[in-house]
Amino acid sequence: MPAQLEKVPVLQGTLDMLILKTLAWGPKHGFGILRHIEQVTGEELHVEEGALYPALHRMHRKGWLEAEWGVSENNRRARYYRLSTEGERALREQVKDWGRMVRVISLVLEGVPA
Amino acid sequence: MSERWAPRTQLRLRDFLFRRDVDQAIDEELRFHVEMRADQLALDAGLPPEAAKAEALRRFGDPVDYRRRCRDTERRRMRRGRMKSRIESIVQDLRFAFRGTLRQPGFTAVVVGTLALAVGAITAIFSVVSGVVLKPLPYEGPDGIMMVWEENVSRGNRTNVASPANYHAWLEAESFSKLAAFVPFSSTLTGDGEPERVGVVRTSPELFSILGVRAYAGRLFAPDELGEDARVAILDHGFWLRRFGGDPAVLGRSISLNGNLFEVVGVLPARFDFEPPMAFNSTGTEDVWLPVVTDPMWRGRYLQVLGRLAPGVTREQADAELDVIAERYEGEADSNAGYRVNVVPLYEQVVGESRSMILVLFGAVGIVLLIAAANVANLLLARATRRERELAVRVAIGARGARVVRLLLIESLLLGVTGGALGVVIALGAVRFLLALGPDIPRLGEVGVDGVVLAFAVSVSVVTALLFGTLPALRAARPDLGSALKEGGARAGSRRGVVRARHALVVAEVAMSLTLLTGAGLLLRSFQKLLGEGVGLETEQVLTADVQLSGNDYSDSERAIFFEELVERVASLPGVTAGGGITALPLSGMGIGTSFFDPDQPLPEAGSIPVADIRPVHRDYHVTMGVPLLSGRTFDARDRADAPMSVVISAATAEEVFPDMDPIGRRLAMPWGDTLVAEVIGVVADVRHEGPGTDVRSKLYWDHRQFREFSFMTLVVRTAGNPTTLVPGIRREVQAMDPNLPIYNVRTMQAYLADSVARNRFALLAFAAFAVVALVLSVVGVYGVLSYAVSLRTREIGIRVALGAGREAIGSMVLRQGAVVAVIGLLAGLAGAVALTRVLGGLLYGVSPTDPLTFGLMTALLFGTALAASWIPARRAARTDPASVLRGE
Repeated sequence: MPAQLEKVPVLQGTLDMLILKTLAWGPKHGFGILRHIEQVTGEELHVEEGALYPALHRMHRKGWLEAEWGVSENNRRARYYRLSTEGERALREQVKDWGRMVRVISLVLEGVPA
Repeated sequence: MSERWAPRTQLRLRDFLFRRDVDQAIDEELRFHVEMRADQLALDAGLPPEAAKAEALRRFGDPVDYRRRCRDTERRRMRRGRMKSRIESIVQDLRFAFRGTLRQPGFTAVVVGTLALAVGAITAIFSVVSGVVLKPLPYEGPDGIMMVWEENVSRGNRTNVASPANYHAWLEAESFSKLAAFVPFSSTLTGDGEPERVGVVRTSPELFSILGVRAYAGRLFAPDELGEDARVAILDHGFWLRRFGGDPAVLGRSISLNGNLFEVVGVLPARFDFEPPMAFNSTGTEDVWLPVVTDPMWRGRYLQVLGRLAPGVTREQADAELDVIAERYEGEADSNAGYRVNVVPLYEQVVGESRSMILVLFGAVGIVLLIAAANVANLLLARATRRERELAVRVAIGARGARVVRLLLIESLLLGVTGGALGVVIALGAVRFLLALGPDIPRLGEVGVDGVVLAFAVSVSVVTALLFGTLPALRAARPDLGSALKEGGARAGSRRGVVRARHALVVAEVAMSLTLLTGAGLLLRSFQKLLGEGVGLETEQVLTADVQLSGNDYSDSERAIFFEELVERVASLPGVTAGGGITALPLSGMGIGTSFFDPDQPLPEAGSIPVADIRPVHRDYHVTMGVPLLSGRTFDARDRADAPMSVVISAATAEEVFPDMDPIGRRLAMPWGDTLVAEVIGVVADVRHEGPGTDVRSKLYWDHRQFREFSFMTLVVRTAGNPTTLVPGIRREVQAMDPNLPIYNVRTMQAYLADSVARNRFALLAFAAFAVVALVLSVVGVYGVLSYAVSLRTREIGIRVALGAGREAIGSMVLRQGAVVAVIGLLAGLAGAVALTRVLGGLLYGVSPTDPLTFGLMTALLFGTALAASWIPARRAARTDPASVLRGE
């Protein structure tokens, strides 16, 4: 499918940050998180959807996320995730690191030969 | 049984259910996602439901893999959570237990103190077991190293030194890959400072390779460095440091021993330690090693032989092969008649004799530990009853039985581990004390509190804690809720069970104490017998000192003159009442022996020729040592070097060779080079040369002027006052005669006597200490359980008194209860003692392991003490005031 090739794959290690950032706007279930990312990026990011869940569970175990069962918009049982205080801290740090990396990489990419 | 397993089964079931929940939850979460996506695709892209679902699944990826990864994460989370809550609750119990023990400092001190003593004692003894018995000998492949002895069948001596000729015959044996001969003796080192008596071992080069030792500096002996002409020496590491300050330049230099020069070629490593099993004219140290002389033409037996078994050969095979060789040479010389070969593993040689004693002590201290555990269990049971309400409340508000058991076990472990830690501190001191006692046990240098010993102490503490904690804990887990919560009332029912349990514990304590007491009693009686029988010498106020004259400086006749003058000078010192001398002093571990016969009777058959110890003496020896003359005379001025040979024999010799006749004036012959023939001039009383309790052996005493084979003599001096004050005087006299002559082994006969019974004394002291501790603990136990029983029956007793029961009747009722406990314990203890005192076997002397007197006395002692312990609660019961009991309770 040619449409797929145009999508940008999620950079290794940035999925956590995207999830955390998404949850910073409020509690969501897994599908909700994915839809949010799709909508914000205009469906340009490509992520295998199932990969979301091990990441969610992992961050839950680390204490970054809190999870509880709730009722979805269409009245179904869904597992909702919420950012914990530790999750907020993790997000801040990851955003900071990300910014630094982008800066450094840009310097190299845009630099001129010495 | 069911109770024990129930909690675990529950846990597993809960786990299983929990896991199923988790799996279901993950499935639901993932399914929700796919369905939401399918709905969304159907709605947005207008796909038909089937296609939408397929597309949703495709976008999701591998659901099996994602499901597995989620589950793994969840499981880990669960495990950690469970662990955390478990640790939290244990910490909580621990904190509770800690507070509890602090709240009852008296109780805690008694329990911890009891445990510390018991753990300390058993740890100290275990350090001996570990260092002496369990550790392999510090040599390469220690299991294959054997001592090879001749076995003197007629004399019952299984470890006789070997003759050079026979040693050379053994060298052909294929059972051994290597054999080495060695001879320990001592020598005078001169030059570079004070003349000094040093311990010397002459050895064949193979000894070092058998033991797997390499030179620390320089080299060891080359294979051809053997015999008189090989003038090379190897130094012991410690001696090298002490005498030469660890100077490496000593290699290549010569040292002078008895006036002969030897070139130092090597130094042994510091950890090398090999003590020849038999010492002869030795200083007890191994300072210098020289090449051995094993010329088969040399007469006599004097070699000790070490061997390494060839691969795959057993001790028995080696023994059998050497016996065959011995049969072959038995016919070659008369002196081989009646000799066999005995191969003994070096470990047995070194450790064998002490092992049983050490294990017996370990067993004894183990019993002490059991008694201590019983006592602590007793105290805990008593306390558990007092805490019944507290525990019942816990159960009532929902604590499960298992949780209560755990709390109580944690309390016990806390007590046990604290006691154990203190016990290790006590053990550190106790080990030092044990070593200072000088218990005549080999390998004491390897005894200490090391990792193995610490691990032992920890496990003993934990096991003991479980031992004394389990019974009270299990009882507490099943409290009678109703009655415990009700104040007072019908509690006696559940408590009667506690009383029964406590009685059982006390019975066990009394029984075990009796075993230890009878053991200690038997050892005490043996020791008294040993000392009472004595050795046939008057050992008080006798000082001894060894003197050796070098063959280079003194001819045989000069030597005799020297000893004559020396004894005369020393005997005339102020404070000396008599002086003499002997070669091979009694109790010194030295011995010289040979066969002899009556030349005027038909020669006995080979193999039954009598053998005697031979002792050259200065003529005043017997007077000085207090050995009575039974008939004839001892040596005097007549027995000069040029006079006809005369011999003084011991009573045992007279009995053996001249039964039913007067030995005075008869002749004796001894094959010593040329056969010596001498006239018997006197008979003296027997002396137990090897120490109290050893067999009396035949002795032939020769005057040193006539029998001049030996260049050393031990001076014996009887003094009016304290013998040690004479040491400087004797030194001065020796120095005056020869400034290069050191005297050595300067000791009193009392010291030799003490050494000869050191092992028995050590066993006795240790055993007695254990028995006393056991006695005290069981008395405390009897007292405790009776006090408790009385306190439970206060009400009943009060009523009895009120109804007119006499106080004496009440008192004797309690006493009777104590007596019953004691008697049951004593009966069980007697049975145990009969079984256990048998293992004392080798440590007993002149007393049967079931000596009725000892058994009777110890039973009476324990019974009396138990009654005495019952007396205090009995009196308290008798004094019960019925009015206050009936009013209050």
